[in-house]
Amino acid sequence: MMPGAISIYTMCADRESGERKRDRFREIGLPEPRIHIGDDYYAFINFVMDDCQAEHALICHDDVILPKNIIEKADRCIEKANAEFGAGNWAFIGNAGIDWVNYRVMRFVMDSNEGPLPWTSSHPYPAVHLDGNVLLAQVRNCRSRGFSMPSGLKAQGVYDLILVIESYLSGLACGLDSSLFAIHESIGDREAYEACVREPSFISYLTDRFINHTFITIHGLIQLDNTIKYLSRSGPDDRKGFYTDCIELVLSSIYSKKKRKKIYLVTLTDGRAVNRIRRLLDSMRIAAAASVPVIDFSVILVMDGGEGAAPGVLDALREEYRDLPMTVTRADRQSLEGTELLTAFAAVIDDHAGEEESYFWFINRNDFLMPSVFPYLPILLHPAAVMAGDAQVFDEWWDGSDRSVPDRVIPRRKVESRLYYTWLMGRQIIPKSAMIYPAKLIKNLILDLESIAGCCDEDFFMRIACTVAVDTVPLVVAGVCEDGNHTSGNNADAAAGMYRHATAISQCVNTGIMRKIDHDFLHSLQGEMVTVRQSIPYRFMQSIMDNRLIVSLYKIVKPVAEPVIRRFIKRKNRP
Amino acid sequence: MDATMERAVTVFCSVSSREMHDVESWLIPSLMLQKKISVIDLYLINYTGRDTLLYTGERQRGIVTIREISKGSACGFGEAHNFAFAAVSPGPCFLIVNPDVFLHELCLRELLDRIGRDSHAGLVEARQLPYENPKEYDPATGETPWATGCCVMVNSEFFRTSGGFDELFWMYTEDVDLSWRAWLAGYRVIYHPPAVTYHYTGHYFSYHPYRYYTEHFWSARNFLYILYKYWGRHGMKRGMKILKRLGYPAGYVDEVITSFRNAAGKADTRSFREYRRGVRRHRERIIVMGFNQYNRSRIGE
Repeated sequence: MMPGAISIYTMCADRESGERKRDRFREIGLPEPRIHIGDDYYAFINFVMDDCQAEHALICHDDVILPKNIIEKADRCIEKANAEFGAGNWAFIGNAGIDWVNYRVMRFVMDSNEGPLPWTSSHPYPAVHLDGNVLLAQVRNCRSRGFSMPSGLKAQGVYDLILVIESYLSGLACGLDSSLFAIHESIGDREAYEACVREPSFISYLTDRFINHTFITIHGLIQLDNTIKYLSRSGPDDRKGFYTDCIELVLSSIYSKKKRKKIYLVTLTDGRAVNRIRRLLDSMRIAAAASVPVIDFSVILVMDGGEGAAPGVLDALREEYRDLPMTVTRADRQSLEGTELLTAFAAVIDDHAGEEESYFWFINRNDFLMPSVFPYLPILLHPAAVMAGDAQVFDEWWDGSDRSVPDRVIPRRKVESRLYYTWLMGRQIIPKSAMIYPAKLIKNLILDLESIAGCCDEDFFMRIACTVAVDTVPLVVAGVCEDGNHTSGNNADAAAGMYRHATAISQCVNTGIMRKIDHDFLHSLQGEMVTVRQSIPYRFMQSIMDNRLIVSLYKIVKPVAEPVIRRFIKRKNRP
Repeated sequence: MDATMERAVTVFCSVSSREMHDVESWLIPSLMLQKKISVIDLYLINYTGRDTLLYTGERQRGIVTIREISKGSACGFGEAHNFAFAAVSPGPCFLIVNPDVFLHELCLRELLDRIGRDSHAGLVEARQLPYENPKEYDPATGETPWATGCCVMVNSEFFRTSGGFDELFWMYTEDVDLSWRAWLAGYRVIYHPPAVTYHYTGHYFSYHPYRYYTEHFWSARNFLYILYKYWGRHGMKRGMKILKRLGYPAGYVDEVITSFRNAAGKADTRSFREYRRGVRRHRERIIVMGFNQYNRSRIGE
């Protein structure tokens, strides 16, 4: 086996088409491919595993047009996969499929499905399904872990799902990466696919191994009748549980051996509202108790530089939470309205930004973090991307005591990070407490801090995230708390906020965050919307329009309904 | 009961290997941080029926003494706690707690004080954060139709005289049943918001749209069982109607109904008659508003 080398494999229906393929590769300067004659993908993959002399195999469908520099790109892909999963822990990387974190389609391919060009992935994303058009196989890992495709399966259209399942069952990860971009000329055969997913041997394969009723593939949902007897049994089921549990097990094992990551949990306080700070520290304490392997964290309480601040309070907190790794530092200046986190940011960034694999999680003093996300952080945090999670907004009422729990809490809306791209419309929807920043990444943007004087935290963090990659995570990572009476702001604050926002957006517009081509493309979706009717941006725009309709209806109904609802609530709350 | 003076607390938590990480990460550290409590006896009830010891850590951690007990056979939530109660014979009250919670530092103290003030309090439930369960309760007295078994202080006298949990529930909804029986037996069920526990798993955090969960299955099955237990055949029929309207696949519903019929077949229905008569006296508390909805409140109200 030649370490580091890559062989290209493709399957052709007959010898003639195989020869044509070989000639084509020769003409354009690609390495000579190994051709497998046949029509059985299961046998083809097993053939590659037996035949390949190189450490890696690039396996392509015969209707794929590879870039001429594909070997160079595949080398880069290997580097990225080795860095992400560890050289001995992955089986296949593909260019299209379903990512494990969001369960969403990820496509680094051009095919008959219209859509924008893909972006450059900073790392391979763990996958639950890969499309088979181009696959980079780590042959040595597959052989050493006993990977092989099952025999006797006839469902050719879903061999790529079986391939990913078998990889995870062998303890190897699969991923999605932009390095393997190619053009796939297939127009797809929906009928053949539908027939495949009804194939009895395929259904038995899945139901013998997993308790799922649904599998998600890039081609659609596969729904099965599967027994639920395991629900009423107390003993363990012989099967492997849910498919995603099997993936999680493999990924947890891989990521628990990676280099340690350090998270700085930073918040600014002026020593007032101690009950909120204590609630935040309680949530950090719970996170600390979860003792997640490979994650170290440190709490930094930044004392606001103003004169009204009460440093004695922080000393008392440090004593009370001495079980937490906590440092207290002081900001040089007093925070201005809306710039609490920027002030904290400025106070701590220089001390830690040079550290490898360090991250900053700036949390508003009124908010708290959700410790339940900590076990996933080793997999979710990447040095080249900002992580944005979901947030739950609560209305809350406090009784004025020092107790760290509010008197009453009502969960309101959930903010979904997947809609983060509304930044491109000048809207900040992801709360600042729900984002985690790689230290090195924001260190490079430190100069921007000076250039956005007059803005607020939200604008600044929005701007950072617009200029770098954002990985969204569909997990609630922060509780964002608002005064239940909604009396904390006044008209003057609101007006000041609007002017700050206008300043920030003006800065964004005039420093080129939105490129003209991006603007024209997005703008076109509001107009003709012919070629991209099914694209995600289109559907997003549609949902905005729908929401506008709901809001306009609400405006009509509200004046009539509100007094009635208020009376009803008042009556209910009466002791 | 003089629980106000009691500073030693017995805590029961049923566990399998799946829950041990939560127990060691959250439950035990939070018990260690409890204020104004001198001794905590934590009993981990191994409900798997296997001999393998689940807890292999230190026996004494701060104020917490940790012991693992097992009935020797696989058992459900209620059976596990009935066994523990018989085996341990706790003092005037004891705590039942989920493995995946982190108790606020004053939680036990608040629960003890509350149950100690009222000899007719059968169950005193802590408040769950960050997501508070939809709760119907009287803000002045704390009286509530039912208390969840997530973190609840139980009056031992009530538990002993009522026969403990109905083991046929196996898991889920047995807490509703125990609460209703408390009301029927003349005890009060109290929701005590000053006692707080943090619960970061379950519905809001980890449910996946493409799965069926043990919790959903047993809640559906026990929804039928509790309707049958308190409202007889009429209740059962109503429950089945509601269940069938929910849009679960036919196979799922069949499995739920089969499991319910097995439970109903094993039940000692003589005591049910008394419960059915008692329902009339407690119309305000023993209520079913919809599928698995045993009070009038919903989130956001």
